[in-house]
Amino acid sequence: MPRGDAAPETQKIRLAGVGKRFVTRDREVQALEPIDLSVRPHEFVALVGPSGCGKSTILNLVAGLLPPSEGQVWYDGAPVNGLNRSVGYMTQKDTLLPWRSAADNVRIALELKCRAVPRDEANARVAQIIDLVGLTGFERHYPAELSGGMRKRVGLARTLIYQPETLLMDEPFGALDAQLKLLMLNQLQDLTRQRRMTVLFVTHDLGEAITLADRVVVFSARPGRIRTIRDIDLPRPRDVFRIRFTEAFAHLHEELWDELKDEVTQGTDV
Amino acid sequence: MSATQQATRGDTAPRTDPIILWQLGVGIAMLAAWEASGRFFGTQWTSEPSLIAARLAQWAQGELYLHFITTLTEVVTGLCIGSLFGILAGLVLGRSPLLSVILRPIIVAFYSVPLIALAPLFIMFFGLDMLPKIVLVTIVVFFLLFFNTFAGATSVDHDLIAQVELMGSNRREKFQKVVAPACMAWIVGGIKIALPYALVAATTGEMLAARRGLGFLLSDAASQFDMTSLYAALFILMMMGLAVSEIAAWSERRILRWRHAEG
Amino acid sequence: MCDGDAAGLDARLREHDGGHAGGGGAMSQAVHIAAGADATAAPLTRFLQSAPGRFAARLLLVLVLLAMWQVLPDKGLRFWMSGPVEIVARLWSWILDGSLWENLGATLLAMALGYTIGTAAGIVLGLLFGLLPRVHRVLSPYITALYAMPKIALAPLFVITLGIGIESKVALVAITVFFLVLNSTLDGVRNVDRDLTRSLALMGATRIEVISKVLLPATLPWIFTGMRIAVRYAFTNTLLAELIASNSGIGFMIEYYSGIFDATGTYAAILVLVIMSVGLTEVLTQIEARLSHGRGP
Repeated sequence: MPRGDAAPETQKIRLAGVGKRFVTRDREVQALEPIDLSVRPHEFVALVGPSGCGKSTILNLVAGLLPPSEGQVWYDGAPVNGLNRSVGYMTQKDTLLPWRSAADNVRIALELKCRAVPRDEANARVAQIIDLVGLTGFERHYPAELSGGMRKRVGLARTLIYQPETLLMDEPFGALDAQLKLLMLNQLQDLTRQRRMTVLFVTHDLGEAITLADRVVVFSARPGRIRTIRDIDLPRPRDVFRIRFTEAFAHLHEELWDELKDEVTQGTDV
Repeated sequence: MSATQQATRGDTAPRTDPIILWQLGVGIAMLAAWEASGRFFGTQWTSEPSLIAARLAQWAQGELYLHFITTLTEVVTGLCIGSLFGILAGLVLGRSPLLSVILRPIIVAFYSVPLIALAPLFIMFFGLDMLPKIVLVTIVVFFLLFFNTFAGATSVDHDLIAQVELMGSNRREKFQKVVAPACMAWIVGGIKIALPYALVAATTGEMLAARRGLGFLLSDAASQFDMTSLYAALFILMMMGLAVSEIAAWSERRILRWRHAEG
Repeated sequence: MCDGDAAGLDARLREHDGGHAGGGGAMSQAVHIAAGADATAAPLTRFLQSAPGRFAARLLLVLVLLAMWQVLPDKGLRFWMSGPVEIVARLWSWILDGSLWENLGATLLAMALGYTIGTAAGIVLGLLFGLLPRVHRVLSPYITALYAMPKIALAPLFVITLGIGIESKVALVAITVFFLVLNSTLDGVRNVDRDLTRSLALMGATRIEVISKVLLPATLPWIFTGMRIAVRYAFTNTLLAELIASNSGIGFMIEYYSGIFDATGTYAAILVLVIMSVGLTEVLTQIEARLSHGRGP
């Protein structure tokens, strides 16, 4: 049995035999073979694998956006049925509201009744987080006026501002250039550690995964199965700018890349 | 859309541009040519700008007011009632997949029919006064707004809704923060189309059978072969049409700033 | 997007119809829940969402409405509302005595003639203005003003000058179509890459060559858009012209029978109108599908 199956209540997220099939027009596609996976509280877990291996599906299942075809998703020891509102979800596609400016998009979570915040406090928090993601000066721009990378950062700010206890992130930094990506990784590491968040992080960039994660889960090509789970025992806090030049990093990268490359060559594309 | 947009946007040249002088010059030249041809060949068919201006001035003393208010009342009343119910129906049906799926062929059929052509039916039902025109405008506007709102409501990005739901929105907030603003673009687009249609519907109804209104003014002039009045009425309708499309374009720009934000 | 075009709406609705299978992005799988298509839905809901269920529900709805209409109890209401059986009988009698074909033909002929003339004039003038941007800028306020005028208001003028025969109908349709096609052609011309025309001119191309090699091909999609939208406007304006003053056509029939308070005749003529409209939309949708199929990858 996989490691995370000890006492369920000590797990933040637990997937027990969870699989997913999609019914398309004329046939069934097994997107995810039944898997077992657990995430401890405050743990940062990165999911890597070829595209189409069901990584995003896992995030959708944990968020409760999709019901599993088999098995059961547990969150905080309770079964997930319907939307899981304890998570913040940053999807691959930016889901900004096009009629709201950048700042108003970030603010939206603070407007909802369940976590309404006085106007002044909301403004202050929005300004602070906008600064954090380096978008000061673009607050009043509409999404259509922002570049892809900027939109991603607005999405990040929006997800972070209400401090969900668990973050689900689906290739959040795919569209950013290398420099900016490192800056964002740094911010993300600081924030998640500061606020002791649990993170499930989907990426196709192995380096990114090793830099950030406590554990990296390598998936096989479709239908998705867990191929390896590797603890990343690099000391914290990590220097995201330099860690990739350390020997420990290189070893991990090589080891995991060996696992991954067979799958990548099998999969459709990277 | 491109066509209407183009027309309403107009080509506003900078104020200092000498093109304005050219535009004025051409306008004056055309009027002069018209006037000259009237003097030369007689005014029976083409009338004359000076006669038309005089007629407009004469109407402005009193008579015009009544006709103008009549048409305006028909347009505005029909527009208000029609868009209110159209938007409501579009939102309700658009957010209930089952109903919309079943009603699809009926909706498409209604959308295909040029509803203004039903004017005689309403005149048959409701007589000569404002009521049949208001009903006609209401129905035309209702369906335009309904189709647009419906299209908007069915095309709300599910990802946006899911995102806001995950943040913990309740049903009301989901509607208020996502569905309603997402439909707004479509609703505004619908009103933009509906405004000129409303004017056409009211005018058509008045031309068919009425005792008042700009359409009546037009058909009355035609029945008496009074070309001066005919052109004068046309001029007023042209100005009304221009005003209507300007209002539509202006409010669209105001309300949908985020859509025009690109670039 | 919202150009009052039924084919587009129909396509959107059809999409809605087929459920949301497939779907691209990460979250869009969530649609399954939103659409209520999961296994927990009530059996009735599921039946209604299946193809035969949809058909049955639609049929039932239409039959119930027709039956209610047919058995209207009140005499007065009967006079105003007629009944489905009477209406179909009247339509049948028109088919037998040939008056249906005569009027149908009159409407279609006026529409086709007006459409052709208006399209041709719109394209030619649009391209001409594209070549002579200064002329266009000088005239544009006048074009805008004429475009904004409800065209139907010109009907009395045309009737006086051209009579109540087909000529006035054709004139009204042509002028409506003309402005639509003119404007979309101008939109297209404005979108032509200036560098393209310039570089061709530098290569020594003549005016004619610039038009035929760059301007026309680049403007074509815009012209087609204008032409597509104009079909429905042509149809509407033919009917309106027939309502206001004409001696033939489907619009004339509606106006004539309502004028003599013959509800059955009015509804029968409206039924013809509905069938024509739906047919027209269907044809447009088919053409659209054909074209986009050819264009697609």
